Amino acid sequence: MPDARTTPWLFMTPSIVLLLAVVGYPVLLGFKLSLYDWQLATIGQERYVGLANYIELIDNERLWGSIEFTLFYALAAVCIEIVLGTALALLLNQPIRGMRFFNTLLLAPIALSPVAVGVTWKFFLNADYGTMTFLLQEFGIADYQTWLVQKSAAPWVLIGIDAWWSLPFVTVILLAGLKSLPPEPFEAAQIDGARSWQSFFYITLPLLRPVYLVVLVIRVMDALRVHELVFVLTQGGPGRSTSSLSFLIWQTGFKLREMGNATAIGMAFLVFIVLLTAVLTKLLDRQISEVRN
Amino acid sequence: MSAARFKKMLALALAYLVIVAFCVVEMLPIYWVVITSFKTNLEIFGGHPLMPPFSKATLDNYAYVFKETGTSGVAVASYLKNSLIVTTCTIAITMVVGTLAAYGLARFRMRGRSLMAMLFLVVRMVPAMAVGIPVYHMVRSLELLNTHFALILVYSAFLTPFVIWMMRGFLMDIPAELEDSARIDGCNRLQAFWHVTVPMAAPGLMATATFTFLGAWNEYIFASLLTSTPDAQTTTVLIAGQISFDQVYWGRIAAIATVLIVPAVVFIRFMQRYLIQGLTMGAVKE
Repeated sequence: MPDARTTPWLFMTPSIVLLLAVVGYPVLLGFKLSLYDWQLATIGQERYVGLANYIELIDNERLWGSIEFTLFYALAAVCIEIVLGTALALLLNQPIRGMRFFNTLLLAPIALSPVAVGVTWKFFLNADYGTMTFLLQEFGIADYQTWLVQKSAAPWVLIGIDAWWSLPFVTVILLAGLKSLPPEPFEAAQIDGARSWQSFFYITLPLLRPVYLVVLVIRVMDALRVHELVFVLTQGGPGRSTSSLSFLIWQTGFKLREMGNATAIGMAFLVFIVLLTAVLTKLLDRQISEVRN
Repeated sequence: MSAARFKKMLALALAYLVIVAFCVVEMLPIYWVVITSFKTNLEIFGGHPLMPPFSKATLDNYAYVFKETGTSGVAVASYLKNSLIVTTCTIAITMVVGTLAAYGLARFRMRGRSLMAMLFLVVRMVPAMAVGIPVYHMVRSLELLNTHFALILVYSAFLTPFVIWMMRGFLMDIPAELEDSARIDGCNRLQAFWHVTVPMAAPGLMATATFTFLGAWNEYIFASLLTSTPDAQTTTVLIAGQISFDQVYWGRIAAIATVLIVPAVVFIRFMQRYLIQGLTMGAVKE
């Protein structure tokens, strides 16, 4: 009979084995492969090059461009989603008839595959036959076709699609947070003559901090890894203006066939994400235990 | 009418206006894909893009999906079959493996508990593409490229942390006393878990399984790296590939996209009650 100290570990053994084999081992393998010069065609005859792949990254302009785009994309998309999501959640936090119906409608985008989102918008934005062209013509705007081929506009198109896709997610969660707030502090504030913007900034926001943090962590992490939208809609272009880090790894490895380089980028990306997660979860863990108690 | 009441009415009217506009914007592209899948090319390129096809509606695009052969000489339906096989097996594995671990984390106070929870969380955050190449290398060395098994294994591993976190939340809500009394009656730990806790956690299990379904059904990156033949390629890979060279057949691609979207939307609809918990891995409750 296992004792109380080993029992929980017995329950966790299958997960730990699965994760060590399918996540842990490839991570170690990745660090090893990033020290070699290798290609798909020459698997089995990798050449050891030490840190050369990492040193090359420093001068790799494509990489710095991708880092810039990825950070910009995540930051812009998440800011837009949180600001608009807050506004929408506040508006919807009223006794609205038919809320269940609206809620059901808003679930649809949450369930979509990123590939389905990309394909849908690719057609929707098509300059010749797309619905967007059609809609804009109705409003008398005819020069739409330049969006996806303009260096300055293409990133914003992707950010807009990300916002379209994730706004329901953010709104639904913030709304759930708002609904769970106790009414007493608001009543007290009203009696004391606080204006509504004052109760928002001094009561709602501080109380919702944990919820915001959860939304922020999930959204930032998912936005930083964007690949499918880029792959389907822009292939990193025009120029390299929308080449996300995930897309760059794919392109470097499977298109340019520089597997060693691509693995090095992947490992650097992984380390960055793990550090970011460690910092954010420290915050998050505290917040979650606060929510739970 | 008092000024305060007027203000309240105005706010409510504004809320209705905004939510209707919001829903229209969110639904429009999805609506467009679905109606386009029922149109002929003539209607798609000649007619109003937002008008349903009415009497000119056609099922040709769906016939292409389910009967005729696609670009690679293989019926689109076989990609759907691959998606279905991989998704079903992934759900089965992750639910068993993940729920057991969640139970270990939820019921016992041991050393390293929060560290384990955090390690599992880190795996959830790992971008697929960052580890995509070594995973590809490993699967290739094992000669498992283009197999369902490889996808099932990889999906299971990457979705298990999600199941652990979500189920941990559900299991912590079930009082441990119930199990204790079952154990006094002669059950062992595993029996108590299986006969007492699992039935009580049934709604949570269903919700978690739905989100696992979405994760596997919608996955693209690993599928695109680990499969290159129709033997195991999934629907997401098919669509992403088709859009680059098969641009003429909007109706067909819209039909495949609809087939991909509909089960996902239907599934999540059933899970509305646990949506918030699922979306936040149990961190926020409704």
